[in-house]
Amino acid sequence: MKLKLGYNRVLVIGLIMGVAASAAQAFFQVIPPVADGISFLGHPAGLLNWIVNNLFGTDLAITKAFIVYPPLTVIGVFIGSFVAAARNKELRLRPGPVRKKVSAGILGFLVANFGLLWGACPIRTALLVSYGSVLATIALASIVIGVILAGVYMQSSAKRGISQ
Amino acid sequence: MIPAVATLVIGILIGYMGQRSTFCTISGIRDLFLRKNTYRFRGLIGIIIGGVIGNAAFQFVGGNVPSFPLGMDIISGGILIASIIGGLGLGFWSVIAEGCPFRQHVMSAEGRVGAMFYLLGFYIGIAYFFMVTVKWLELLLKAVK
Repeated sequence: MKLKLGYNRVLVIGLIMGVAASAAQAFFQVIPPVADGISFLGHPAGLLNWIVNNLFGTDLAITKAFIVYPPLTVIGVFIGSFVAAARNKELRLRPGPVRKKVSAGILGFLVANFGLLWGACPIRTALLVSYGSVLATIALASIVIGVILAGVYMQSSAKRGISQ
Repeated sequence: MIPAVATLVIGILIGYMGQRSTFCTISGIRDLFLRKNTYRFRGLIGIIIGGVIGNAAFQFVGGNVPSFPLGMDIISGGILIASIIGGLGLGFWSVIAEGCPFRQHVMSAEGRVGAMFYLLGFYIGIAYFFMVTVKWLELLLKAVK
């Protein structure tokens, strides 16, 4: 089975994500909080905290929907991506995207902390925007500004590198 | 059990599609503003459109869609400031890391070593946030009040 959607395939995948996340809330009890059908900060945090709580008897925060069984989005993504990469002969160890391993780890640490400070990954932020949240709209605007600042910073760093 | 299974199924679906399409929200925004390329940005737009259509339709047929549309949900100035700082940092550092958290999970499953180390730091970061950062934030919010 090959996924052939042409230039709009990312748009179609986004649409599927939006509808699937809404369906998870509306019909499969992935609530509260609202618009939490897909999240790559909340769900990894929920899974990690669920494991730590069950192993060490701690009381780390878990959303109501996942108190008994943890969110398994991350596990699903690993399975789906692994299968897709294997089927298309793209599964092999290779460097990148960040080549320095310590830098990659530090960046992951920073993204987790800033993301949790706002409370959502970009995908869930978009889901919250679609749910009509004013706060999420401001947060999405902040993410966009952060992206532009980083882009400008990287471009200026590259120019400095060339001039030197 | 139902929410866990639902998230697993959605995860497999979007993991497969995400790997085939190089879907990434952060790269989408970056490409739009710096390269005038809309290919990946369409994913973010798709989520918002799909979410609006899904929520409206499922609310119409009697699904569990409370308080939709949410509207004004800023409950304090502190939360607004935290959201802005968090959003700025999330966007900035995700560009430097070359991908949103979803994309990093996908790349890690493909065998990208940098993404694996990113995720190691990411999960340590989550644990650190709940064990340390949250306590500092609570103290800070009390001091502001």
